Formats: sequence, C-alpha cells, structure tokens
Amino acid sequence: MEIQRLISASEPLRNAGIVVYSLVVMATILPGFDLVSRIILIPYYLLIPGFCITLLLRQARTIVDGLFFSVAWSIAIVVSVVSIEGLGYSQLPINIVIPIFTVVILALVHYRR
Amino acid sequence: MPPRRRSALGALVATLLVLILLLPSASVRGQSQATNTLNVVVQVHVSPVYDFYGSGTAVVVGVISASSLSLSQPTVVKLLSTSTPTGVTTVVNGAVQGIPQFSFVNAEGLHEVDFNVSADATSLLITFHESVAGSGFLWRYIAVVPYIEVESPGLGGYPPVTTTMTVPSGTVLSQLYTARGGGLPSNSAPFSGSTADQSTYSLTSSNVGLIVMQSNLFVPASIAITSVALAVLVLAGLNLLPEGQLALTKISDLIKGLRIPGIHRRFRLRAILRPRKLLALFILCSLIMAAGAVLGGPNPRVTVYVLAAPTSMTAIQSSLKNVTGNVQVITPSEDFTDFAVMSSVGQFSIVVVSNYPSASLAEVSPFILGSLGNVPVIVVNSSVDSTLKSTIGTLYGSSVVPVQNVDNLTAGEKSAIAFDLGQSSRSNILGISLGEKGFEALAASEAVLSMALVFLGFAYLGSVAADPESRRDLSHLVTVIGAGIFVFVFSEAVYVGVSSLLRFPLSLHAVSSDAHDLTAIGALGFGGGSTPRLAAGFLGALVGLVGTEGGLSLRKSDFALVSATLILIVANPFSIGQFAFQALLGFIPLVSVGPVAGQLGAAYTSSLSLKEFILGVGSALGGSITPTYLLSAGKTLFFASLVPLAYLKKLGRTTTAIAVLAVALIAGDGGVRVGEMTPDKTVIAILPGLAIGFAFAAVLLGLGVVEKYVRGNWRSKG
Repeated sequence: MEIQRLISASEPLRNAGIVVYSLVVMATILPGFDLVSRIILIPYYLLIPGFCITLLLRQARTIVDGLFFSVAWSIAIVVSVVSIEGLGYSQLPINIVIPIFTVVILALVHYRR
Repeated sequence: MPPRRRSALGALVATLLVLILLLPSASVRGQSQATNTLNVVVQVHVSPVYDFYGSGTAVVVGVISASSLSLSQPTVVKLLSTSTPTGVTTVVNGAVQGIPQFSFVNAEGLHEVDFNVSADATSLLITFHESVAGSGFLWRYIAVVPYIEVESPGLGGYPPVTTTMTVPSGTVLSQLYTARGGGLPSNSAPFSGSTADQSTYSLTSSNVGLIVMQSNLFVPASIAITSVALAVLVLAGLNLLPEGQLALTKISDLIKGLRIPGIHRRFRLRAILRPRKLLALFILCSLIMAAGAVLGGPNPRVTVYVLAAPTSMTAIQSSLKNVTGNVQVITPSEDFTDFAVMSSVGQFSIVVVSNYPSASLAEVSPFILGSLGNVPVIVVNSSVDSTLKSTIGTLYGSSVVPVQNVDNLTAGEKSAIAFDLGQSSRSNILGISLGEKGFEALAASEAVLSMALVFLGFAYLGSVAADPESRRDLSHLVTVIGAGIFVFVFSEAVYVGVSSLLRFPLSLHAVSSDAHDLTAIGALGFGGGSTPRLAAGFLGALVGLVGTEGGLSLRKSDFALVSATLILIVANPFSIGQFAFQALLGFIPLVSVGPVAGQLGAAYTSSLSLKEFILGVGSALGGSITPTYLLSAGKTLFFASLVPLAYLKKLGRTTTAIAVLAVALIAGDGGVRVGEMTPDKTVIAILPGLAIGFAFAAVLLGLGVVEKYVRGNWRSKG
C-alpha cells in the first residue's frame, strides 16, 4: 500500500522527467547543440518510448516485465520510424518524430489514469 | 469441341480468309512503295468464364505476310511468343509448302519459331494459332494478351504487330495492365467496332499485357450485394440479428451432431486440438516423413543440369543417356535462381556447361557458379569461353571432366564421367530400389505430408496462442514467440532433411506452377507449392486459434460483421473493390507466376511498400549486410505474426475476429517460406520479424482501443 502510494506520488515527477528528456532529444537537431553528448540518445531510444507504451498497456507488472516490454516496444518504434524514413519520408527527422510520439503516448497514459 | 469454341474458331478462320483475300490488293498498293516489308496481324478471341474460380482459354490467330519480296540471299523470319504457336502453315509464291522451320524455347523463355525463307521467294504468308490460358475469379475474368514479336533483319527488322481482340457483346474491360503489371487507362484498348454478338478492341498501339473483364451485369449485381452486406454490417453492429444468430446456432449444432463412420461416438475432435497433442502430431508427422525418405530414397533418376543452347538439348540428353541410362535434364529456362538449393540437397549428379548464349550467361551464372561445388561431376565442353572454363577449372578442378563435344562423347569421356558418377553415387540403406513410378508415388506422399506438417505446426502455434491457461502478458508472449520460432525452424529442418534424403526438393521458391518434375509438390500439380502451403498454414492457424478447447471464441454477430465487411470490400464496384481484387489476384497462379509475375496495379505497389518497410526494418537490424544473411520479407513476415498472435486475447470482440483472420493470413503467407529451404535467411529474419510484430500489434491494439471506445467501455474496462 505504501509502495503503491509512493509510486502514485512519483508519477508527476516521472512524467515531467520524460517530457524534459524528450525536449532535450528534440533539441539535438538544433544547430550548435553540440554541448550535450549524443550518447544521451542511446538510453532514450532504448527505453523511453517503449516505457510509455508499456504504461499505456499496463504491462509493467514486475520489473522484468517492465524492462522487457520497454526495450521491445522501443526497438520496434525506432526501427519502424527508420524504415518509414527510408521509404521516402525523410523530411521528418527521427529526433523529432519519436519524442513527439512519446509525449503523445504519455498524455494518453495520463488521461487514462 | 464445344459449340461456342467451334463458332469462335470458325469466325476467326473466316476473318483469316478475308485477310488472305485482301493480300493481293495490298501487294498492288505495296508495289509502288518499299518492298521487303512484313505485315503482322494478330487477332485474339476471348470467351470469358465468369466463375468463382475457373479457367478458360483465348484463341489467337496470327498472320505474317509479305507480298512483294525481292531477296538477294536467304533470310530468317523469327516468330517469338509467350505461348506455343501451333497449326503453322506457310504459303510461298502462292503455293502451300512447308518451308524449313525450327521451334524451341529461347533463353528468355519465349517460344521461338525460325522460318528459313529462300532467296527465290517473292511472296510469303505464314499463319499460326495459339491457345492462351485465362482465369475466372470472383466472377470476373482475367485474360492474358499474348506477347508476339516478329523479327527479320533481312525484311525490315521488327515490323509492327497489328493486334485486335474480340469479346462477346456485353463484356466490359474493367482493368488494363502492362505485361509488367503497371496500371493502364481504359482508353489503352480503344473500341474499334462491333457486330450483333461481339465487340472488337484495338491493342495495336498499346502495351496491354493483361485485361480484367466483367459482364455488364457485374456492376448492378455488385451494388446489390454490397447493399445487402452493408445492411448486415449495420444490423450486426447494432446486435440486431437474433433470428440470424438462431439459424447459425442450429447449423452449428447440426455440424456438432455429425459423426464420422468408424469413429467412436465419444470421440471429440476438440480432444486432439490441444497444444501438447498437436505438438506430438507435428513431430510424429516429421518422423513419418523422415522414415519414408530414408526407406524409399534417394531418387533413382540421374538429374543433369544443362547450361547449353536450347538447340543442343536433345543431342546432349541422348549423349548422356549412353553414359547413365535414363536422365532427367533441367535447364535455366525452368529455374536457375533455386540452383543453390537444388544442388545443396543433392538433386544434381552432373552439370553440363556448354554453348550457353553469353548474353544469358551473365544473368544465370551468379546463381550457379558459386554452388557448382555441390555437384559431383561438372562436364565442361571445349566450346565454352576460355575464361569461364579456367574459372570452373580453378575452383572445382577435381570434379571437372573436360570433353571435346558433349553432343558426341568419346569412349574415354564416357568412362571418365561414369567413373566419377559411380564414386559419388548414393544408394538406399536397405538396398531397396523403388523404380521411377514408385519414387513418384513416394514423392507425392511426402508432398502431402509436407502440407500436413505445416498445418499441424501452425495449429499447434495457434493453440498455444489461444491457450486459456496462459495468463501473464510476458510469459504468454515469450511462449508464443518460442513456439513460433520452433515451428518454423523445425519445419524448415524437416523440409531440408527429407529433401536431402530423397535427393529431390520437396518444394522450391521460384518454380512456376506448371513445373511437375522439379519438386515433390510439383508431382501433385502445384509447382513450387506456395499456394497450398499458404492454405495449410492459414487453416492450421485458424483451427488452432478457434478450434482448441478453451480457445478464442468468436461470436456469431462478430463473424457476420467481419464477413459482411470483407464482402463489402471485395464485391463493391468502386476503387477499393478493384484494389482488393488486385491483391487477391496475387494468389491466382496465372497472375502470380505468369506473364505479369504478380506485379499488378496499385495493390502490388502497396505490397511493395510493405515489403520495403519490412526490408528497411530488417536492414536496421543487421539483415542483408552480406549475401549470406540476405533478408527474406516472407520469413520476416512470419516472425512478425508471432507478436500480434500473443495479443489476440487482449483485443475487443470484433477486433479479435478481424485480427484472427489477418494474423492467420500473415502467418500462413510467411510460413510459405519453410519450403524455401534457406536456413541462413531464417536466422537473420527472426529479430526484424519480432520488431515488426510489435508494430503490427500496436496497430491491432489501437484498433481494439477504438472498438472499446465505440462500445462505451473506454473508462470502465480499459
């Protein structure tokens, strides 16, 4: 019960963190944004979009479940967007499309709570 | 001959006579103009068969004429066509006479007839007939326009071919395509006249290769059916079909009450349809296949792959008969892209490299040269290009038998080939020799079992996905993924193992449907076997998902809803109906492996985009980095079906009904590739397939959410 309450209390902080992280990823396309290492993109694309889908589908019953589905959904999203860009839709950069998609999913999670 | 066909042929012959009678006047006109030109007139008469699925033929009559020849030396007139010209008659200088002619299938797969015209010919008339297959499908008719070309360097090069097509009155040409499947506007076949019972269209200045025809009653009937389907859709959607449901329940009870003679009354089919029993049956089927192949194989016939000019084939075959007895000859025109697989399972005892046209060799050799090491005896003729000869000698020296003239082997060459062949021969472990007929029966049995294997494997997979005892998301997902990978890899292993034991491939990827002696499945009349394997996989997945005890339950109203939607899509007369029809045409042998090779219109373009999407994901995940791990879109598609399969229980009622059909079709379509027997491609397709599977699952889950929202459960059930 206590843990559940703690998790509930930390949700706004988690959501804010994801939104800020998404904004930082989006900002990497700006010219002159070389002060931040591109390595920050790796954990983002590895976990964050998939984590939001996992929350939406309520699949994070245990830590293993959550980790598994976060990584699986994230890989699926990233490679799908890369493949669609390869079909001739390269005008939308991946660093914009995926963070926006992530924030939209997060909004849905928040709405369904 | 049926009366309709007889009257059609009579009309064509009459037209032909008119053409012949007109020739003198044409010659008078032609005398003041350039001489030595050919006129080519082709008339295609189509008798459409409007059926759910059936076949028909079109009669083709062609006339090649030249009225005022003045030749300084003999010349050749070449007739090239996608079909076999028959009933060829030749009239030279006004008298019917057989001029020397030579028929064969050229390197491009076209039927070629070469007419040798002597220097003293002053007029020429060549007539021929052809019969071209067509298909009736979903009450429309698909007619192939034969490709006919005439070539004569001494008589003007490539004369234009005047082509007209006659169809019965009341026939509508609804869709036109090029020979490569590109869509064409309706004015590509302009109307050029009609009589009381037939209409004529001109195909002269267009590149029409395939025509979809329909009766003029099709559109009103289609609108009526679409309206009924729409009404059913609305009623089912509003759950207002109690009477209909009652009727369906009665039919269902009737079927349940049926008893199979000889089967105990307590026997229930559902008792077999459990994951463990289906798995046992799946493995049992593979054991029976392997046992049959061990006991009855290998293929008693010596199979030879011959790279030579088509004109030399007969001589080479009879020459080799003197060495090994009866031989089966396979040529690149039958299949060359599958050479690696065919040779890997030991199908070929000998490869003959002779005077193969160098223009075609460039296309064929990349598929063949790298796999020659799988063949124990490589006979290289002295006429072969010295570079190619030295390459083969360097790479496969110990297997190479150089010969002076493969058409006429010397005693020393024969004994050298026979010795090498004897060194590599493999016999049955029990010393059994079935003979050719017996082996054909064994191959046919193995082919049937190979379908059963796919059916049982997919039924097992479906039953695992629908298993009511599996509750947790993750454990269910990984169980389904594990089962799917096992079913595919094991099935492919069985295909490879049995084909190797038989020294005869059970199936191949690129074989045309009319090839009967290249594969075991071909003996059943299915060529490479893709379509029946698709059907077996689709039905297996459906039976596993819906038929197993505690499996997915589809409500009758949902079934009515989905069925009505499908009818609405397929039967409606508008663009979406044509689009769906094009997609379904991909499964018609005439179209999928015929002249247009499945490349048909907008549906093909869309499937190409889906294929590009799949290959794009695959490339991002390590596929096609080298030719070894070349991606197969079909195999990737199978593994992609595993993830949505695991999510079927989480979808809404109607979405589940749609998803069951869609996933069974995707799995079945991908499962066709177990017969491709390329394990490297399987290995590299698994990870991309699973990633794409999550994308597919997201679409279905989204659809499920929409359904729940529409049904008002958005907040209450989530």
